[in-house]
Amino acid sequence: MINQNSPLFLAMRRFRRHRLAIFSACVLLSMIVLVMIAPLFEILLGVSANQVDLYSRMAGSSLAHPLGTDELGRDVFLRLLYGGRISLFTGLTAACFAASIGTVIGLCAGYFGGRLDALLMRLTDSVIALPLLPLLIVLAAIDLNKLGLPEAIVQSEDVSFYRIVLIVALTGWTTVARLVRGATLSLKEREFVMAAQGIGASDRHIMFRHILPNLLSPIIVAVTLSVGSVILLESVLSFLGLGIQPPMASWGNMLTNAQQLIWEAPLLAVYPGLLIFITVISFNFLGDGLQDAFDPKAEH
Amino acid sequence: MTAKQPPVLEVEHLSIGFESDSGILSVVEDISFSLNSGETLALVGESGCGKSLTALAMLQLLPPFGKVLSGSIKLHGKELVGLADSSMEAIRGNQISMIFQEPMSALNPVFTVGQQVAEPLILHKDMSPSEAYQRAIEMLEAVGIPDPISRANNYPHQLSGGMRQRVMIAIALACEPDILIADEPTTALDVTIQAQILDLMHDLQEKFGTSILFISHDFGVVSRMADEIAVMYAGRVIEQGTATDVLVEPKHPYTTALLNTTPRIDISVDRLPAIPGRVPTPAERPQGCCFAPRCSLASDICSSERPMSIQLTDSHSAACYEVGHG
Repeated sequence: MINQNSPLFLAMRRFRRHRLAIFSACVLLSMIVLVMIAPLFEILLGVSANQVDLYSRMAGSSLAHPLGTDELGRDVFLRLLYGGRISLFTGLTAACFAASIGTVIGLCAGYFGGRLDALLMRLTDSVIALPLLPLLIVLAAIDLNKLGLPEAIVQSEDVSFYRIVLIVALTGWTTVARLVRGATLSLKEREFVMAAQGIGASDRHIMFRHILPNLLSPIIVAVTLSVGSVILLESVLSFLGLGIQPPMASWGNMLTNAQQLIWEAPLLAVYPGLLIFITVISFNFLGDGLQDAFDPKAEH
Repeated sequence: MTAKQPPVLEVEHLSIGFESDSGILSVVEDISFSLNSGETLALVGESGCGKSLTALAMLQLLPPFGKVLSGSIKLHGKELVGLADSSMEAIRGNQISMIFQEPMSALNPVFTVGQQVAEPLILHKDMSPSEAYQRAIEMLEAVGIPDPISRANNYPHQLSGGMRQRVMIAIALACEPDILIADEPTTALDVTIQAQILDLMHDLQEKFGTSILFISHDFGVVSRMADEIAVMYAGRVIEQGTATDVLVEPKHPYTTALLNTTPRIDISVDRLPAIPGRVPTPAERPQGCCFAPRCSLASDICSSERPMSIQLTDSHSAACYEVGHG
C-alpha cells in the first residue's frame, strides 16, 4: 500500500515536474531495458556478441549488422549492448556498495562522535588524499593468484568485473561517509532521537531505524550522482587495459580497441563514447532532479 | 489506601553535575522526593533551576558530560543510578516513560504516527508489528484522537500541535508504564488545548494507575494536576508539601513570590508582580541561600549560610530561616 502522504511519495510528485530529469530517467530506463534484452537481439540477428568473422571486418551498417562490425568482424551493436550491461551494472553495484560502506562509517562517526569519529574521519581523509589513478592501477594490477584466492574465482570470466566493483567501492565511499556523518550530527540533536531513547531504543535501533530513514533522500541523490562517475572510472580503467578484460565487452574497452583504428573506423570510437556521455549526463540530470524533489527548499 | 503502599519512585539526596576541564559543576544539589502510586508530583521552578535535568536523570538520559554525582534513584526499591545501559533500555518506555516539551520535533518525520505508537510495544512487549499496530490504534483512540484508524496512517506533519502531543502521550503510555514523566507537556500549546491535554492526562492516570512526575514553571497548570508539589530553586528543593500546603500556605518567600506572579481569576491586579533579578547560574551560586539576593526578607545569615530544610508539618517542609522564626 502506498501512503499518499509519505515523504517519498510527496518527493516523487515534485520530481514529476522536473522535465529534464524525467527525460533522463526515461533514457536510462530504455537503455537498461535494451541491455537486458540483448540476448533477444542475438537471436534476431543470428550472431553472438563475441563471434569473430574475419571476412567482414569493419563493415558498415547493414541489416545483419545494424551498426557495422569491428576490427575482428564482431557485431558492434551487440557488443555495445553487452558492454552497456557491464558498464551500467558496474556503475550501479559499485555505487551502491560504496554508499553502503560510506553510510555505515558516516553513521557510526556522526552518532558516537568522540574518538571513533576522529578515527573514522582521519581514515576518510587519508582515502581522499590518496592519488586515485595510480592507486587504481596498482589495485588493478594485483595478481589474484598470489593472494591465495580459490582457483575457480581467479580463473572465472567475471573476475575483472568483481575487481572493478571492489576497487571503486573501496575508494569511493568517502563522499557518502562525509555526507552521512554531517547529516547524522544534526539529526542526533533532534528531539525525536531523545524521544526514541526515552522509549528504550538501543543505539543500533536509533541509528538504523530512526536516523537512517531520515538520510535516505540525500543518500539516494549521492548514489545517483556517483553512478555516472563510476561508469567514467570504469571506462578509464578499461581504456588503460586494467578494467574489464576482453573478450567481455565494456564501453571502456571498446574505446581502447577503437583508438588504434581511429582513422580507419572513427565510428567505432564514437558509439561507445557517445553512450558513456549520454549515460553519465543522464545520471547527473536525474540526480539533480531528485535533489530538487527531496529538498524543495533549496534554491539554485 | 494508596498512601500506605511503598512509593513507586524514591529519590534520595540526588546531586547532578557536569564534568568539565575546570572540575565538576554541580547543578542539582541534594534533592529528595518520593512519588506514590497513582499520584502526581509536580516539580516547579523557573528556567534553569534543574527541573529537566532531574527528570532526565530518572531515565538515566543525562546530556553528554552530565553525571549523577551522588544520591540514589530507586524504582520499586531497585537502584537506577549506575545501572547498565541494556537494563536501563528495558525500563525506559516500559516502566518509566517521558513526554517532551516540543511535540513538534519529538516525532520522527518519516514514520506514520501509528508506527511510532507501535514502536515501544514491539521493543518491550514482544508484539508482532501488526499486533502492535492494532494496539497503537486503540491507544490513539484512548488519547482522544478522532478516527484513529485513518489517523494512524498520517505523518506527523499532518497533525496539529495538540494532536501530536496526544500522540506523544499515546507513545509514552503504550506499555502502561508505572511512571510518566511529563516535562512541560503543555508549554508549547494553546491555552484551550492545554486544558484538554491536562484533562486527558488526568483521565488516563485514573485509567492506568500511572504515577506522574510533572514538571512545570506554571503554577496554574500545576494546581490542576498535582497531589504533591516540590518547588525548586537553583538546583535545590526549597519547599515541598501537598498541593494544598504549598498553594494555600506557601512558607518559602520564593514560593510566595512565584505564586504572586501567576495570574489568578479570583484576585484582580493591574500589573502582575515580577521577581527582581534572575536565577544565578550554577557557577555563580552564592555561599548562603541562593534566593537571598532576590529576597525581600533576607537577613545577614541568609547570605552566609545555606538554610537546611525544616519540617513544618508531616507533609510540609521548607528551607528558609524565616520559616524557623515563624
